[in-house]
Amino acid sequence: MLNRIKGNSQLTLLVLLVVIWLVFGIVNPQILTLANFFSLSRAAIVPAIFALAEMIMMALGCVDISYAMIASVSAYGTFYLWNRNGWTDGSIVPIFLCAIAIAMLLELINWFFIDRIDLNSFIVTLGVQSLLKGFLLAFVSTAYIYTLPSPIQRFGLSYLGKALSKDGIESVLHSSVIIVAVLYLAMNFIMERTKFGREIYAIGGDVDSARRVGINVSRVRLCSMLLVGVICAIGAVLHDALSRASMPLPTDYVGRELNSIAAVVIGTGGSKKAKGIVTGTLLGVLLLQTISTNLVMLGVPSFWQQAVSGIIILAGMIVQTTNNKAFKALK
Amino acid sequence: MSAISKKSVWFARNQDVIRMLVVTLAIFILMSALRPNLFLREANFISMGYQIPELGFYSLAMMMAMLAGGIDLSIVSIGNLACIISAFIMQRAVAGQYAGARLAVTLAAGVLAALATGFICGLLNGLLISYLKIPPMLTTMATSSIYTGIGIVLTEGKSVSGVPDAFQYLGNHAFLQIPYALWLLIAAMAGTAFLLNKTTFGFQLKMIGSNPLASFYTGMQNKKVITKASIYSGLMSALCGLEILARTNTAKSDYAATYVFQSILCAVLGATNPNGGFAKVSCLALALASLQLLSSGFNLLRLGGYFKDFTWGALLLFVLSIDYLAKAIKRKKQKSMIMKIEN
Repeated sequence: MLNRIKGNSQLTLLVLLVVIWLVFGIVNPQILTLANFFSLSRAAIVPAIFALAEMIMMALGCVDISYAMIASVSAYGTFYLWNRNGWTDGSIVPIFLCAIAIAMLLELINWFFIDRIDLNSFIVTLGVQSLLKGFLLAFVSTAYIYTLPSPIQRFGLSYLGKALSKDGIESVLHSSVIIVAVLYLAMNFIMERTKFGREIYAIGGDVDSARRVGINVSRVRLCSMLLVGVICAIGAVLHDALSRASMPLPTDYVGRELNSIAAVVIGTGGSKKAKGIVTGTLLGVLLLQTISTNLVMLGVPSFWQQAVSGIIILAGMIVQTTNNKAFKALK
Repeated sequence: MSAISKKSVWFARNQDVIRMLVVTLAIFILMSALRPNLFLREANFISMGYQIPELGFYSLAMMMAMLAGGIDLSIVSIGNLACIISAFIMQRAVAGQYAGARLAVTLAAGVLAALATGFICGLLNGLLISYLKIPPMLTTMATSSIYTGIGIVLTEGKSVSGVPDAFQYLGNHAFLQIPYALWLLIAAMAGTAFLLNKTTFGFQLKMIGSNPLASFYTGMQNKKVITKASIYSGLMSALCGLEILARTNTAKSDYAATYVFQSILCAVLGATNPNGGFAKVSCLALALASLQLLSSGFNLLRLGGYFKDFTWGALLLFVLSIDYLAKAIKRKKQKSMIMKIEN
């Protein structure tokens, strides 16, 4: 039994998550209430989607830190357009489609430099991030948009269930958890059960070998980066719907790309075959969110939070990368 | 015949420096032409001299990490942590109104504490990277968060200020028109150039950066060399922290996080290969000068900070692509030569 847990990193992570919940629950019983789980799920929605985008890139053997800025440009650009033209009604679908289109276009820049020019993905995405940040703030606008289109506003307030905490504060299970669930199920199917998903892992393992066995590396990279665009555009629109405002530089996810990378690394763990696993990524996000949202309830002073979460991320990386050969090739 | 080939060898060896020199001169001429009466003033150059060192030290630190085939995202956090610890020690001199030898000892203790901080942080990075084999990028991202976090815990999120005037003098005065901090940077650059080109350590570092496996089989101690390079990065970052403290008289845990990106840009612009194994200090110095000219020029043209982000991002992508295109053309030429010989 113990050996099985040790051998399967996903199971290890699940056990760890449950143990952490139990320990936290003993320290502060409030943490194990339904209301707290609802608020945890709300806090995890956006990070979970972005971690999924990062997971695809890491499975390809890249490290992407431009996804957050691409997401921000796509959502802000869309709402800027809607606001300017006075489109307040209508359906939620064209908003998502417009954001997705913008994000896919921007991902083409990444693809061009990473695939066509064959540059280091980390440095390319760093440049793209700076480029887009400068472009959005210098040439488009720096103002926050508070009047989102009404379908988005309605969506932001919709929920599946309600729970009261002991202090009488209401927590709701937001309806976008369905979107997260659908995305994760779809991605799990794509990565594990389709030829395309296997090709992504093959490229991440070794580009040259992948080319030699006849995989069209450029095409797979293009498709997967467009997929990353779709996912991060959805994440950004959901973020704006949840926070009821759209901002050009949302500091709660731009500049925090480490959290997504950490979630993927911690989630993938001892698996020898891959640099990104869908279920592991979800567990990684839940673990990091559990720790960061509950530190306050555990009575940790707020200025300790950065150091504590840094130490936890480092510890997770040490445990998970020391027995993962795949990560050693990643520079 | 031999004269021509000697010349072409010299050009081939120094093409990076020549290219960077052309870029720097072009930016200088462009900015001078756009704002001649503001840009070409002595005051402008003096203020540039005070602005260059911060990015300079961080770029040296980044260059060292990249040379080993890695990257160091924790340089700014190390610099800030060193700055905070040294500020805490130096504050005592002001509170106790120390003078004379006691002041000197306190200042020396502050400087040593900063350097020790840089040493320990660099050592930790190096051990994690080389002995536990965690990819450098992930390691330094996590340690960066930890070092910043420690800084926040020590200061409770506030900024620390109040170091002795004698120390501030070093940050805000010049010797022979060149600020003391710039002298220190020049010395650090000369030292780094010596280390890379004339010592065994520099040679081994370059070899390990370009091919770790081959170096390992030739009997080099990869782990030790990479750890040493990490420590060097940490020390450079700590020096930068001291410079910031001397110039601004404040220490803050989240000061100037954007320097991480800027130093990567500067190192890559200065012909450092991001995949490891190649770097040139002279190119780095020119890249630093050209970035500073560009940024001062933008300020004089009243273009905002976001415009700078935009151009620097574009510049980074452009410079990286130039390298690739030049190499692709060369490869094509070589291929056609080989084809000709074979035929």
